[in-house]
Amino acid sequence: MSGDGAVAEGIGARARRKEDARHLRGRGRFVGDIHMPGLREVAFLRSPMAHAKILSKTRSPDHALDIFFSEDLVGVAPIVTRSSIPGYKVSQYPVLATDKVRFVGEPVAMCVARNRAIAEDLIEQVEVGYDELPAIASCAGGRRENSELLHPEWGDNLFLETFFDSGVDQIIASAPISVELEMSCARQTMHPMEGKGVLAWWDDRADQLVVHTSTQVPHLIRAGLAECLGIAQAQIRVAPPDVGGGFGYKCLLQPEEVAVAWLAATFKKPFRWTEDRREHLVAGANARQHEYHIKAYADAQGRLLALDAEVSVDTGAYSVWPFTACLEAAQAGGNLPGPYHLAAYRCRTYSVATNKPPFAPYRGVARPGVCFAMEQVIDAIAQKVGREAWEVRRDNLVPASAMPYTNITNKHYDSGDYPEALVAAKNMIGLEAFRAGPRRDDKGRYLGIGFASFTEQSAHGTKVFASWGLPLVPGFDQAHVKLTPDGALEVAAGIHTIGQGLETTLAQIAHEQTRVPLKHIRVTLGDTAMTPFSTGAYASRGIVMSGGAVSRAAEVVAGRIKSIAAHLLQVEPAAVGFAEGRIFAANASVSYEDVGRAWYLRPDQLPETVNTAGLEATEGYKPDVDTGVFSYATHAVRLAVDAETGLVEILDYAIVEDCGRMVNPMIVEGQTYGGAAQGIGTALFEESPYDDNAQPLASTLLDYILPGPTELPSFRIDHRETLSPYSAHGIKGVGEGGAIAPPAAIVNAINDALSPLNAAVRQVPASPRRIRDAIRRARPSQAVAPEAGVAR
Amino acid sequence: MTQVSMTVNGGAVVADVEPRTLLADFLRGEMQLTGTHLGCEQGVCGACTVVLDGRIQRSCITFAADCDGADVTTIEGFDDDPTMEELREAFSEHHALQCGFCTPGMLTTARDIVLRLGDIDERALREELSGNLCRCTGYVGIVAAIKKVATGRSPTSRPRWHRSSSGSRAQGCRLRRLRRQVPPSRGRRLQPWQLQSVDPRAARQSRNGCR
Ligand code: FES
Ligand code: FES
Repeated sequence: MSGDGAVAEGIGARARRKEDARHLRGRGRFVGDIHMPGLREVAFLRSPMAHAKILSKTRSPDHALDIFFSEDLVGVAPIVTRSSIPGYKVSQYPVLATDKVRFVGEPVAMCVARNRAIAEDLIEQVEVGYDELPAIASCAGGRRENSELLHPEWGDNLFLETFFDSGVDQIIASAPISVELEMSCARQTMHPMEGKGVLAWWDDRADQLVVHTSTQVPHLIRAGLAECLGIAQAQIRVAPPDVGGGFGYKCLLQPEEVAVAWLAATFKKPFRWTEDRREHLVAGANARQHEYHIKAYADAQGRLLALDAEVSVDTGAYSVWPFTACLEAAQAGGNLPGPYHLAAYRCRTYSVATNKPPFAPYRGVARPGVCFAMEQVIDAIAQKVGREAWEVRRDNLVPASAMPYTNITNKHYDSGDYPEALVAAKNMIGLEAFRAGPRRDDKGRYLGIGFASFTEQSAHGTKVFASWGLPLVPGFDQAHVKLTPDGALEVAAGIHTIGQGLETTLAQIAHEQTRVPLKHIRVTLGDTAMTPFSTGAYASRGIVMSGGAVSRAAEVVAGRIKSIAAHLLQVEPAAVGFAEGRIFAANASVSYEDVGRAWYLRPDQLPETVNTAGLEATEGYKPDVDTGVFSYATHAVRLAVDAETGLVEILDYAIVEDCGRMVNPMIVEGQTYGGAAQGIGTALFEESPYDDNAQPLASTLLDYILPGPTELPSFRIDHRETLSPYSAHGIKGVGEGGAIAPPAAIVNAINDALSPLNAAVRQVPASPRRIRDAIRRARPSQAVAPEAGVAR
Repeated sequence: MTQVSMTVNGGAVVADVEPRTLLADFLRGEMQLTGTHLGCEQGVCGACTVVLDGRIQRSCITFAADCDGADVTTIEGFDDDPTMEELREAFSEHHALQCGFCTPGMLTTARDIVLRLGDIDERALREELSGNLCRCTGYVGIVAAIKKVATGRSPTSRPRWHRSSSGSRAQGCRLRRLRRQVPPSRGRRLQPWQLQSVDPRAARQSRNGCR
């Protein structure tokens, strides 16, 4: 270890987290924990119907000041998300429903009282008359001729239809083999353990609306609230407290956020809404539901020649803000070719409006679905050509020698050795030994191994977001770094901490540049009044973008520290260096406090030529090539399937991942495990089912199964560290990757296990019922499963 | 309103509560002890776990009015508890928390496991923990941290008031839902190992009934 403690605390250190101390003593402060005199709690009356005209709304006259309808919200604009993509249809998402409701759970009225229980009682004082309309409960339903229209002015139920064709017809005609698969992922709910919450009050002294909201994107929320409420951005301060998990659910402007902010701005008093779990399950079921129909063409060895795909996304009733209703389909179409070399590709995507909650970008966005589909295609091809799936996978992966590599959808893979990670995962899971052993265990269960390889485009840059037509395009993230008079370092960044440990990792980066001891570095995040702009914590961008900004700002401050120190030590700036928490020139040294004191309190000690910007700097950052830096991984799973009950037990789970330079390997592992746990939820347990009337069928955590400690394996992980040539320190993002592969790897393993029965599951979650159904379907003809997809 | 007197974190409390007021809301609201978190208010997630008369209990499904004469300890009351100190240290070392929302409940359950059962194997540990949900960590760090504190420890001689935490009960119910998709035995009963592949306790609980 070097004497200056760089390894112990800087980039690469398994530094303990700064955020732990408060949480371990129950002193974290979440929206629901805030106490404020005069605080009033808000409850929403939500639509019980999926699709209906509102005929009447009534409240008793003495409740005019504690029950509110949309008509009362004077000056509030609906949430409207525009897109620059041609053909995209814009929805008007009302803060409270006006003349129509479009999903079960849509807010219709807002009730206010001194506590939540009384506010909920008030809901019973409201009467709403509905005239029920036929509900659109599926993509197929939404696309049917003459189907009921959610937004009649559109003329159909499509937010957007896209088409990409590199020219595939010739290749298809001559391809030696082909496979055809239909696959789908269930609708899901994201479930941060802390639900959404927002508390807003009016600060008379600052003449400002202050919003404490549980969000990943405080600076964006400020912009969104300003737009909906018609208040200048300078008059809004968004100051998020601790956030109990985000996963994408909290990167949106929610109607409830606007409504509560309106109350505070109107009545100049504090108001709060905290989402309960039932609200989350019903009104927040907004992710993952994709349908795939893919035909893939390959040579006799299984080398991919062309892909012809159709993707439908059950997009829900409205577009969320700011990510639009077509982000999911755009990402699906763009990411389907995955980490593979592919020469010909055709893809049509449909973003279908349905009577369900508006679709939102859940951890991994479209990629868990895309990976699930593509990896099954690879396995089906392998089965068709009679080779091991991992071999076919390896032969199709973009090799290290081709890096950097631009693929058919113009994704620019910056660095890495994808096949090596696959082979390493195969060895970790012990494929050869497994193949030499029995296909069934002593309990009669079928055994299988499955793989999934993927890339995780992280820190997508300006161009990428612009190509998705987003109304707000992220560019530079900024950070501010300052040495205090007593020699500590203050770091401020507009990104927010949601559990991903940025208070620690950003401090590690600042330490790397300044060598100020980690315990003397303090990180402030998110508060729009105290931090420079960041578009926020999403798309695995935090550590790359904000990390880059902190690195730059800290580098600037480090230079200024050195020049003042050099003057104090009477040497040239080039002669000073950081070591052991001090600033040295040969054997002489000064402390950070000496430097701080000189600038702030003893300017008589400063050099004539001192930089008058002082010991603080704000810098902006985005990578030189801003098409995103690509992390990648292979997941391998070994499991047992009980053919009688359909129950699956995961026996071993191995991950080989590469996210470039790891700032804190402990946190990388935590992100990966946590993501993989959610991916296993997608693969085996989690589902928000709807009936034909688009009524949600899961409204408690007894209906919706979140993976608990007994359902999850002890993950094993191995790292590679291929630096990105484009980002500061070679860092890549890692927030989402863990969640991408499990549905694919697990379904491939289940299908490997069931291959003696010729059965294949093509849906997640692969519930006991779906597995048994697949086996039953395969039984009549022991030859080829009718829906199994490889028949052709 | 009902008057209740209880001991909260060692201090005597007398308060008027509505019959419907839940212990969690009382602690978080009146007492301003906001370390007790509410993740589901459905008795499933365990974020609201507190110690009530020596046993862990979900405060979101416990009425405050039922706690007359009770001794309640919340996460804030464990500041000086030596076992909790070890757990806090181990949780930080093993990255057993990310957002921290589940953490107070996890720690409270973990302390109960460690004291009540001492050194147990990982499978048993996961089972005991199964009434607490964490959405961030995948339980890897949590299990490792508790294991570290439990290693070499023998169960305390405290009264053996229950075999399983209230938490595991809820998990049992959840999994029973999953299991409902298992077909009715066609001529033969499900074997215990078939259930064990998910959670052995669930088998017992579905026999005993959840409620
Ligand atoms: S909040 Fe009590 S169990 Fe979830
Ligand atoms: S740390 Fe976030 S829920 Fe457990």
